Amino acid sequence: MKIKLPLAITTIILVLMVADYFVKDPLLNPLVRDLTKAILIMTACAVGIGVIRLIKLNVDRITVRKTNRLESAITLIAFAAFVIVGAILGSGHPNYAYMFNTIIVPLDSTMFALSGFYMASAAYRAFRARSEEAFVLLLAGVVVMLGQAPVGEVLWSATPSLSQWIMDVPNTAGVRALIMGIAIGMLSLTIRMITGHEKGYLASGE
Amino acid sequence: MISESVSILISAGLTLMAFSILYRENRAFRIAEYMYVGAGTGYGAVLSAKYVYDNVWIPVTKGETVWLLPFLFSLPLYFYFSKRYSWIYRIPMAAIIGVGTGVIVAADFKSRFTEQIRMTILPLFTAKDLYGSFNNIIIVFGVLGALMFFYFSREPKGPIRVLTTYGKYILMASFGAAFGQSFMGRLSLVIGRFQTLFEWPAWILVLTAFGIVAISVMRDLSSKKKPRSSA
Amino acid sequence: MAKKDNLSERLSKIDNRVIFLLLAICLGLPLLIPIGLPLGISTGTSSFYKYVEGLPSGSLVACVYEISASVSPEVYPQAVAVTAHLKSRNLKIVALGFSVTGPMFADNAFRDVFGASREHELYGKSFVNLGYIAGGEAAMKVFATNPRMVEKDFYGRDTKDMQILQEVSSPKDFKLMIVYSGDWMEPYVRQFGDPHGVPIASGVTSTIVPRIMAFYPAKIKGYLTGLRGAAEYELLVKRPGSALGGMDAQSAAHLLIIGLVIAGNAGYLVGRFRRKEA
Repeated sequence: MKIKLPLAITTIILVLMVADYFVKDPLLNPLVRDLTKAILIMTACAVGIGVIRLIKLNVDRITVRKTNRLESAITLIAFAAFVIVGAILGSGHPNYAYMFNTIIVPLDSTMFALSGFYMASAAYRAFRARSEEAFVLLLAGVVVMLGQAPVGEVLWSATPSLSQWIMDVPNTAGVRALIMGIAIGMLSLTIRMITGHEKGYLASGE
Repeated sequence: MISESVSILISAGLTLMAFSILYRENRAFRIAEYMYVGAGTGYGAVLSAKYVYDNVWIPVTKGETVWLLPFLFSLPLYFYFSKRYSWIYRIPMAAIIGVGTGVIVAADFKSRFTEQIRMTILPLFTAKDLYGSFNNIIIVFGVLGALMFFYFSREPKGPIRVLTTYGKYILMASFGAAFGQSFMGRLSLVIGRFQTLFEWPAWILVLTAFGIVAISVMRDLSSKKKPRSSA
Repeated sequence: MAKKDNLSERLSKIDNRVIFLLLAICLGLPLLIPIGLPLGISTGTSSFYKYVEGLPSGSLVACVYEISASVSPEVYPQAVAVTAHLKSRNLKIVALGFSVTGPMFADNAFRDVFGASREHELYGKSFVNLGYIAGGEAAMKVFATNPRMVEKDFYGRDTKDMQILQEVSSPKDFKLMIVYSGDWMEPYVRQFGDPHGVPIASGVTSTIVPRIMAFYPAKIKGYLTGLRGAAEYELLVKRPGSALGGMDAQSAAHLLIIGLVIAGNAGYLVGRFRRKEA
């Protein structure tokens, strides 16, 4: 019951969704459309799980574990500030946009920008032409990098064309093969879900 | 434009606090990191709550009470936190997974498989366009070779081995291209942050930060301790 | 002999913080002292621009903002340049987002190009921000079957009587769908391109471009590649912005990385040669 009921629900819904794609039926199509809209609402409601976990974890750190208390307090203050101001003013208010642009945008983009520095260090340490395959990878990477920057054209006028050729031809072939492989994998996963063999997504909580 | 100056100062300060990890792990970076998590979660929660308000509360107040059902059906998700009844959480989750997978799979096979095959059926020789023919040969045999490379049920021999080796090199070229593009993308993010740091009055904070790092480096060098590397 | 060994070892063992400092200098200096290297227009950008130029005046264009703050330095300048182009061509813009932060960037783009968003006299007539639609690809599927599903826009206003939305009854009413994204493009091809025949153009981060090539030009009519794509588009629409200013820095940083990779490989090869000799 604890496993079979959720599996049955997934199977029925999957079959309905796939049937909706192939069949034009005045009963089936509106039903699936409304079902999908209902799931959108449920997905939005599920955000609360993450919120509760965040609050629980940080309150735990402040009261019980006593590690990084200042940082956890800052997490909760930042969370509360955005929730309270958003609830009072609304998400479209210019002052809320100001908070978003001042706090979230710089932090989010800087966290990802850090990876640029680490990629540079990793490229320097790991990008070694140890074999022919590694050499091809290195060469393609270098040509594409030069082709994308204006200096590539200054160094050699054919660099942008060569870079574009790598993107248009060998890269297209490689990516196309990978995408087709992913599609086959997705199909086999769906068949496993429909037949009830795939249970990984039913991992329970605490 | 006081509010704009204040915004630039705060943005620059948070950016410098986050960049400080490049020298070494420190409290300023941790504060920025934790603030990022809290602010991002708060913002996401507000947008999600607005979505529920617009799509449940408003229709229900207009008499469309049927939209209360998905809201009520999502409440068992919170049994996630119960040790004894956590299995109840699987029921609404199964519905979400079912729709999420169903939306993708039927359309996915067309766009990622059959359409890709259709786009790979290219003329291998056109007398009027030899360059295009050359490219088409590379693409067609590249796709075949790369797909054959992942067939592990039997050891490739003879012409198949040649094809899979060719496919391997095609994959390496595409990974190299992906690295080149990916690296360019990350550098663009750094450029974006630097452009913010070079606006007035962020200069004040940048110079202060440089001063702090310079003093820290001199102290580390003079005490002959090797600072902990951040990578 | 010992000096050469030390050099090859030193070449392959530069401290991380030295690399970070060199990279910061290569990125920062050209921003302060621009060089002004010439910039060519790539195929993807050219296709994108020509497609927009070919749309009849007054056509509806859907702009999907899948921009998170992390990718905004690359993709937001694209959005501003393209929005300016759409405005100059008198095209009508329906902005929306399937990610939480997307609509906020749509609001920023409208303020940058039109001077205001919800307060503008043309809001609701020439452009609208429908806001965030939760649910990922499931939400795209629902929107594709019913584009009038959004009853309140991003600012909480009723969309029922908005002039611009009176022309929208099916996804085919959109003459173009522009997706600004830092993530996969396949969902849009799956839900809008293939089933409904909506032409798609994309402004994406450089990381995504290799994956887009499998769909270009059959499904995706044009694409902008990260900051470079934004710079090229700024050149085409004659609206220089932050993207053009960043190109010199990009050139310097690319040269540094290629130099470091070559130095690392030189050190590695010399070391390997020495070990074989020994």
